[in-house]
Amino acid sequence: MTRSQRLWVGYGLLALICAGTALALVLTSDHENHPLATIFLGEILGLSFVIAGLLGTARRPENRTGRILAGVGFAFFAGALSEANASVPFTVGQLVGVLFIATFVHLLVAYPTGTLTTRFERRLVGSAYVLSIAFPIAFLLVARGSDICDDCPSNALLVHRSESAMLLVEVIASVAAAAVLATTILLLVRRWRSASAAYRRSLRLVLVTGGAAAAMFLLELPLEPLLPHAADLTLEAATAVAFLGVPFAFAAGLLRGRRASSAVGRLVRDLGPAPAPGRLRDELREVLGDPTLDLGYWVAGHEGPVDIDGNPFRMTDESVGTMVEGDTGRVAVIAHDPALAEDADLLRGVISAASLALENERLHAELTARVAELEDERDFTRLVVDTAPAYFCVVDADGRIVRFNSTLELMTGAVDDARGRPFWEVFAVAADAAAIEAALDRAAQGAAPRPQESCLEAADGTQRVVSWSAVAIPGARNSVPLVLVSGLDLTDQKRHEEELRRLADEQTALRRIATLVAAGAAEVDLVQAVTSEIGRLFDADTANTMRWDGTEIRVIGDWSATGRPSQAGRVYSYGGDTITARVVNSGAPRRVDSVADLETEFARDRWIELNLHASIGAPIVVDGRIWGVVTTSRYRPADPFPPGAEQRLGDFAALVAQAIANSEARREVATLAEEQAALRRVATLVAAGRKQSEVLEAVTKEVGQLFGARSVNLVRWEGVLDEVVVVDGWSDGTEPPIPPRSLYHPEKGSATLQVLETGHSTRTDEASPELGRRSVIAAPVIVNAALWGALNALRPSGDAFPPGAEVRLRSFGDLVAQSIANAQAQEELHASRARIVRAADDARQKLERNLHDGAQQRLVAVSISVRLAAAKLPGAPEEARALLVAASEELTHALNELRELARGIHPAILTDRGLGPALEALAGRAPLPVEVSNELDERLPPPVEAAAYYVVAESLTNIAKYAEASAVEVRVRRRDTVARVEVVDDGIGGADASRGSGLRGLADRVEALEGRLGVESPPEAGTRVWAEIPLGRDEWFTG
Amino acid sequence: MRTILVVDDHGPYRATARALLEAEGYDVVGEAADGASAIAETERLRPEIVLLDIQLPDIDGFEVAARLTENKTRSQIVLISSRAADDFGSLVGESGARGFVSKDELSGAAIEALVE
Repeated sequence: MTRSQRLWVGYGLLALICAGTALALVLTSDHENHPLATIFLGEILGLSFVIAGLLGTARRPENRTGRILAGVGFAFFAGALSEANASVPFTVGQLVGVLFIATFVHLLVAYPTGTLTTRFERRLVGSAYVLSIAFPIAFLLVARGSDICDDCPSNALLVHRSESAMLLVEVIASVAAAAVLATTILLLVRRWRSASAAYRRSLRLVLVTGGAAAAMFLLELPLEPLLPHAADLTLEAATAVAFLGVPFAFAAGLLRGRRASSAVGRLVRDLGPAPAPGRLRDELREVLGDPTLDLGYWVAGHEGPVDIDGNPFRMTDESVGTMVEGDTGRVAVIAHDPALAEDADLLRGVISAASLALENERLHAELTARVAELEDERDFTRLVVDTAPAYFCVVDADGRIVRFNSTLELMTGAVDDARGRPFWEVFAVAADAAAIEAALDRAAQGAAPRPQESCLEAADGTQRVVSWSAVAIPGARNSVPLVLVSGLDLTDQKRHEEELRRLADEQTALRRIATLVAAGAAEVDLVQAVTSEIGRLFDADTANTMRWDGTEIRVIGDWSATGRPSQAGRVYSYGGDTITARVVNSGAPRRVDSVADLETEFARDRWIELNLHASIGAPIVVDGRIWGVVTTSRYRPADPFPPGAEQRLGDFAALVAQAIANSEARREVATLAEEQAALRRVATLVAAGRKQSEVLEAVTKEVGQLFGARSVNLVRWEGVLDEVVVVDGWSDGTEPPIPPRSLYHPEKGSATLQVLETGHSTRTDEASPELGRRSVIAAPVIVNAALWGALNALRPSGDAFPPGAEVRLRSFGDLVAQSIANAQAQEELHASRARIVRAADDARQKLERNLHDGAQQRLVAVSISVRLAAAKLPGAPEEARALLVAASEELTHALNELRELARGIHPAILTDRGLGPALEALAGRAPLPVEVSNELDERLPPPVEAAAYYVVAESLTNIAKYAEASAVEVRVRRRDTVARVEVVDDGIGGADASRGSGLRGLADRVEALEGRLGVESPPEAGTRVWAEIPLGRDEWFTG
Repeated sequence: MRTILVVDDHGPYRATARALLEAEGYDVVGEAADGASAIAETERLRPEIVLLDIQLPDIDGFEVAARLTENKTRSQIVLISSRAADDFGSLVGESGARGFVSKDELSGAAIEALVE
């Protein structure tokens, strides 16, 4: 006995016992008012659920839906206990009376898998079970049997009857049951809305009937208490009928599966052995009710499945695949809705039934895929042949053209009418025709391919070099053998090789020249080397390097293939339309390919004279100026230089330019070194304090030699704009120097006058009536911030000074200025010393005279008077007395004069008491009011005090003599290390410090102490004499 | 009584000298305050002795002595000065004067020791 049979026997017997028991209980019940209806509906309902459940379990044992379905039936039978007349079974029947509804909710929620997948589902179903047990218990605790029905037996669970509690339990139970049922219905609705078509189809019957039953239960809850008894019965009956639909719906679903399977079988038969491609899929969609169903086929050579057209097959994300395998492995994959997987038997049946059709379709797909591959390959080959940089042509055994590729067509311009003509007539020049014909003939005979070079004429008229290779085509289907001729165009390759060879030669030549440049070769050697390299490299007959000075062309480098006598040194006048003139005029490389290119008679004559037939030339550009030109020429008619040759010649010219620039730079460095040496020599003379005349002579000589001047002059500006005096001059001997102390007037616009006007270095090209045109540079000589004169240098006009020479001349001008400033300072120092000495001499002389004329005379007179008085004393005492009185008066005068003199030599009060008291004493003796304002609170060094004292003393003397002042103020103060003394009066002003020896002597005295003396004396505004004397010298304190 | 001309630019000294010389028996015939006057007064007064100060405002005493000697004067010239004779070196001897007397040592004896 199989498991299925055991199930049927076991559960079938149990169901029959339950049904029998229920029947017996109803029939014997004394409180059942509608026994027939109850039996009819109850027995059918219970048995329908049990039988449908057993059917489902037998068919899908892994699915628990059948068991739950059967559980609904048994729960329903259990409720029949409430028909019992005895108290306990009645009470049990009441307890489990609504359990079948909870089981029914379980069935609906778990359908179709039979399992509760989410927590929400489990809670919903759990709530249903709890409510179906808990509320009956609660109700039975407070209700009598008579509260359930009039004749019902007693309630075994009654504790205490309470109508209000009953009512409360009923209301709560109704609300809770309604909530569970409504939630279940909503769940079903949502599940339905989100289901795929195939899923809906499997859900449709069970969910519709189950949902309807649940809805009826829900409807019954609020309506039952309100309806009259008859209507209530009708509602209950309707609910029972709806409920009854559920097991039948389940059974109908099972039957539908079987129908589908048999329908597929019929369908495959209808399709026959070779259905139209794609029809099987449409039929399966129809049969399985899945419009998304699709078929992929496994074909050889593809990693994944392909569709019926041989294209790669892709499954959608929503579908699942079911593999179909045959004897030889995978046949197909059916992509379908996941819901179909639930019905594995159905799917298996369909696959089994459709296997032949699937295999047929797989073969069709494979063929389609292969054809597509072949087409791709063919397209690729065609593309390769037509786009390859190679020529392909198929000829027949006679060498006549059958077809050729696009590359050959584009290159030669051959068109369809070339077909049928001999290959060598169309694709080879006449000279190569015989060789090509022989090669094709050999190939037609089956000889191994051998490259054969020949020329063909391209559509643009140029000749191309092609390497042809011919081979017989194996397996040709017609009787006439064909030959494939393939050609590789070597033209560009050969040109590149030629170009590379030329470039290598050129690089080698350039490297040789660059080595010479780097080694600092002499300009003349380098130019000759470059010229020779150019001549050889450009396969020329002659080459020249020429210097261009702005007016004429001089050959400085010369080469000839025939070894003609050198042209070096030859000078050509510039002009006409020569290659040289073209290069100079354009500043760029130029070419002349034949005498016909020349525009002027002059140039044509020159060419004929020189036997030239082609020339190229390029400029040598140094520092942005055209320094010269290189040219190279051929004597051979109709053999011009290759295209671009003149540009390459420009590379050589650039190297020459580099070498010349280097050489000029070296010259510049040497010049700079010479200049530095010359400046150093002059500076050494200046620093050594050599005589100014010696320094100036050295400067003019150094400038003359350094700048290569014809003459150099140092002129002093006399303060009148156009008048200068020559201080020193130098000449190279070609003309006599201008004698020193010559006065002359520089021409208007001359460099010298420009320097005097602007104070800046300058250069001119000026005309001199005596000396012709000259190039002149001039620089200013600025002494103590004042323009003193100018230094100028001259050259003949055609040999101008190099750029910047006038700026460099300025350095020499500065050295001249330094020398002059030194000499002036020296002179000033000497003068100052002489004045100081003379002042001291004058003072001593004055002192001696004053002593002699004053006190000494008086003392002599007193001496005689005393002697005379002594002689007269015995005889004439009165006379003697008179003499003594007179002598005494003379002595008093003498004493006063001596005192005054002593004070004039040096005021004792200054030595003893310092500057302040000494100035007060001076003020006291002055003939006008003097106010002394002394801020000093310490003694100053004695020389400083003395200088300050004499500044004040001399000023007061001058004021008394000349100022017509009414008051004087004397101020003395100290600022850091400088003492300042000021004497200010309110007199008539207008004092001139340069006149009179007094102030000059004071200035010398102050300057000897490194101080300064100033006089400010505007007319009618008083005079201020001030002196500032530094205190810093220690020896003044010790000295 | 010897006649004498006193030449000195310093008035008080001329007065003192006159008083001393007269006290010692000389006839002071005249005075002069500068060189030019000294020459003129010597020519005019022809004194036996000219007492001539070396330092005069116009021409000095040496020059005056030289000119008087040059003019063949018969007056004997005695140079005086408040300076010492050493201060003038050989000038006194070369001047044509009879000799030199320091002003403060002036006396008849000093003069007589020099003149004939």
